[in-house]
Amino acid sequence: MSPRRSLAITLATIAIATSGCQSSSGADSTFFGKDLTFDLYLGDKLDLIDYATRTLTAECMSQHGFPQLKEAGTKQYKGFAQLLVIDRARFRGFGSEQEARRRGFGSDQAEEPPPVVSSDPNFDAALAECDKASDNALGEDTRATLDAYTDLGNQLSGSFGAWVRQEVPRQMGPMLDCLEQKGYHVDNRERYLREPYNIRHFNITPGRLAGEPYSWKPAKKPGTVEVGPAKPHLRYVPSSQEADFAAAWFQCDQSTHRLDNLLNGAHQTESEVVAKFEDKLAELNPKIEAIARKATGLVGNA
Amino acid sequence: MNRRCASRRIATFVARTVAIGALAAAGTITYAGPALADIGDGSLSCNVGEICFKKHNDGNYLDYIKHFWYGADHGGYSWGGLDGASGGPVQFEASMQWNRDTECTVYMSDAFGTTLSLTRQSQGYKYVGLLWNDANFSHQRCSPNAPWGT
Repeated sequence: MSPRRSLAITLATIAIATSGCQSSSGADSTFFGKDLTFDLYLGDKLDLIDYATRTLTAECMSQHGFPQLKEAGTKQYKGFAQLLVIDRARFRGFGSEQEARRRGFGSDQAEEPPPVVSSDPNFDAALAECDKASDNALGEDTRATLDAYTDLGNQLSGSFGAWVRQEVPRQMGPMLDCLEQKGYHVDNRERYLREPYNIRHFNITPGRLAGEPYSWKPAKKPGTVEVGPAKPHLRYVPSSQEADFAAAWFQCDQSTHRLDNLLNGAHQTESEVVAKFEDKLAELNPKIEAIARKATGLVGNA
Repeated sequence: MNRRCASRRIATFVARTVAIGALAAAGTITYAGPALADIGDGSLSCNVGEICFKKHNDGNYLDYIKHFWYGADHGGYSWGGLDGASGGPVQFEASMQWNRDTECTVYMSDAFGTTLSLTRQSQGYKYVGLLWNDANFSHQRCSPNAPWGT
């Protein structure tokens, strides 16, 4: 029996055994034996694999006489692992009035590694070779599996995002009425609902980042590889006008139940979206687990 | 496109390329607007290490492009390329992207905080997809820490 057929029969058997199960959270459970949540998407494993391939590539480039990537450093980021997080920050909700005033509607500037920009065709050719070698070191068909899995992550995110784009504006109706009563008016509701967290639509002056804006720019002289400075973490400081508005936003969230409605709807939608793609998850998750094990063996965890 | 229109486009392209070359030779190229993310060297190429966007879903024309090497909220940026910064705002108008970042995955978000990953590509510009066409809000390097709202 082929491994694929064997897997299919195993999954089908478990599916029959557990079909119709209802978990304590209300989400359907499946052959995974778990709730149908975005946790079934192995974003943390993908982050590990991403780190491994880049570490291998940096080493390979160094051996080809291009130490820039190794010197810039590789790091395991929480990237794919954060792609599908559902929390109140996702809908610009605050836990308290105090938190609303402190955070406002901006965001800290995240730290970024030094950019490495090439204007050297020799560097580019070596990089293409090294990328390929790194993929192959993790096993045959690794790149195809990774591409399929990142595409799956985007399909999950995109499907969930379609609901968000429909539901967030719908929930803003009562919220805008509440904010209007507190003296915050939007001139053009239709335009505002394209970007509902942009406080400029309420004529609020936003705060600023506590530090200098990033200003490095590569000269792009042919034949050179340039390494820019890392982008530092900078804290976002809301303006006083924005802090007052955020407090009003929190109060309106309490009275209109906008945030609660969105979080409840989000978890229901999450379950539906995962159900739609569970066959693909069942097919690809074991492959990703296997590549991740190999990645750990080659470079360890960051 | 008819032959006459095609000829005119080619003529315009050549004229602009010659003009850019002349300015570059004289060392007088300047860029308007938030120039940090502009094409940098007068070259239209998307270099290794850059995160590149194109306004139109068309592989042939490079009339409206924007290159970054860092994460950014796209608000306030205008399209560069052959027409300088005259192509209108980047935000909500990108149709193609090419991620050549050398160090991490890039994430693109809409104004509602929904994010897609843009893994590294070796084969040129790619259509950003139906959901993101005319909906890009920002992109981030390494993690999807979207610059909310402002």
